[in-house]
Amino acid sequence: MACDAQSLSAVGLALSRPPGVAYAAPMDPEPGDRTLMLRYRDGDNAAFETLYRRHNDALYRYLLRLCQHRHSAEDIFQDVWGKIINARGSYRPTAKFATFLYRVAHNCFIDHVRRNKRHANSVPLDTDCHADSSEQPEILTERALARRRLDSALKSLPDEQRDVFLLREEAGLSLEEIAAVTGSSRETTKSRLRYAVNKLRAAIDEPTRAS
Amino acid sequence: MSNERESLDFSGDSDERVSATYRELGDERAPEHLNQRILQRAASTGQRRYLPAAPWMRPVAWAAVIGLSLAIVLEIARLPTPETTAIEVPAPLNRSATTEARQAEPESDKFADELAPMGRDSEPTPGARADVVDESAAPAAALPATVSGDRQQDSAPKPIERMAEPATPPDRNAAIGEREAAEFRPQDLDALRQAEDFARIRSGDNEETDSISSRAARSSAAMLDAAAPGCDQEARASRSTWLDCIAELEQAGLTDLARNERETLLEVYPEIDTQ
Repeated sequence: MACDAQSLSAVGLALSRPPGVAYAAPMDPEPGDRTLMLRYRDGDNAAFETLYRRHNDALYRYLLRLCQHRHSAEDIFQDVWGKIINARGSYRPTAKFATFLYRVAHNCFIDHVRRNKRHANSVPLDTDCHADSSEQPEILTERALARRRLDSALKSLPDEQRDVFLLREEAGLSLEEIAAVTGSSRETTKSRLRYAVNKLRAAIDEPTRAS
Repeated sequence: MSNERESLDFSGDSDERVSATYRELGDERAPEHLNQRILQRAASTGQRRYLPAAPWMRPVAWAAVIGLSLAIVLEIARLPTPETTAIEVPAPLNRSATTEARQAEPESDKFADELAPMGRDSEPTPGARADVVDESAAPAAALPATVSGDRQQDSAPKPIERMAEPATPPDRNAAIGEREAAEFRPQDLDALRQAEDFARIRSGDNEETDSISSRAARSSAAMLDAAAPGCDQEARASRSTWLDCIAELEQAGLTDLARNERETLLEVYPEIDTQ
């Protein structure tokens, strides 16, 4: 009888437990980039605005750091989005949209460099725009110096290494995606990224070593 | 992403430090005037694709439909009815081949002998013999006649017999033969070869025919392969040359190859709208 009671209670517990149903995933409130681009291709302008707001700042920073020239970056920025708009008819969602976007941006930058030979007359970018006043002045000074050193080291990097580093930092692309964007192999990309990071790290650590 | 970072053999702290310092460089945002300009452009381009039809488009469209319909109806009305259509047997492609065949009677006899097992009369008439010669000289021309009328029956088409009548005296034939021999061209040789092949086909030598046709298919495929290498590295060096190359391929009728090249081009330059 006790056994029966135990078995019944076990059955009751089993029944009271939620059944092991594989619930359908909740509906994604934010559609993916590819979906948005396909919607825009079909005439949904709001989808493009969402897509644009999602990527515009990162792309702008990528171009700004890559060109080191604000006006050129703005020109290329417009050019890139213009090409994305024009190519919406032939857009195929075979790859990540970010890869597509940054590939276009990379090509536009290459075209720009070829046209202008060298992107000279760089306008120095403000590197101290996010100083936190609540920190100690020494720390603030040290961090400001580190930013300046990083900025100058970034400028002194070869274009390929800077491109790879920025694609990593701004676009958040993986090595394979960066390789696809730059048209190089994964190993080359990895090597360029390693060189870039090592140089930037050395630039940041420079005063520490000196002291 | 984090796994990849670890796989880069960086010391994690330094990599993170570089990233963190980079983040502090500045959080520049795209200028609002650029945002507005691009969004306006996107909206205007998107709307342009779905513009409603202009007011003048509807009557023009109706007029075009009515005009085209009338043109088709008139064209159909002008077509001759099947009862009044005269079956015209096309002339032989190569007169010189016919003349040579006429002069070389034993050759035509041989062809006639070869055709005999196919159910021809044991004593072929001169007309029928010349008919065979005409077929061998111009298979493409003789084929419709062969299809339309069965020679084994007496209802053989008259025009073919008429063509085969020896209307010219032998000395005149010889003069024509000499003149045409002087005008002999490589195409004539090809026609003769085709005629021989056709005679072989008629004589039931299917294996040989198969080998000939398969050889021809193989050679044409090889020619196509040789002539369709796609765009080389030089052509792919820049967008414009690549597009030119694709256009040339399309003009040459190599649409599959052009489509492949276009897909490759789109992978390299996805911003191009090649539609």
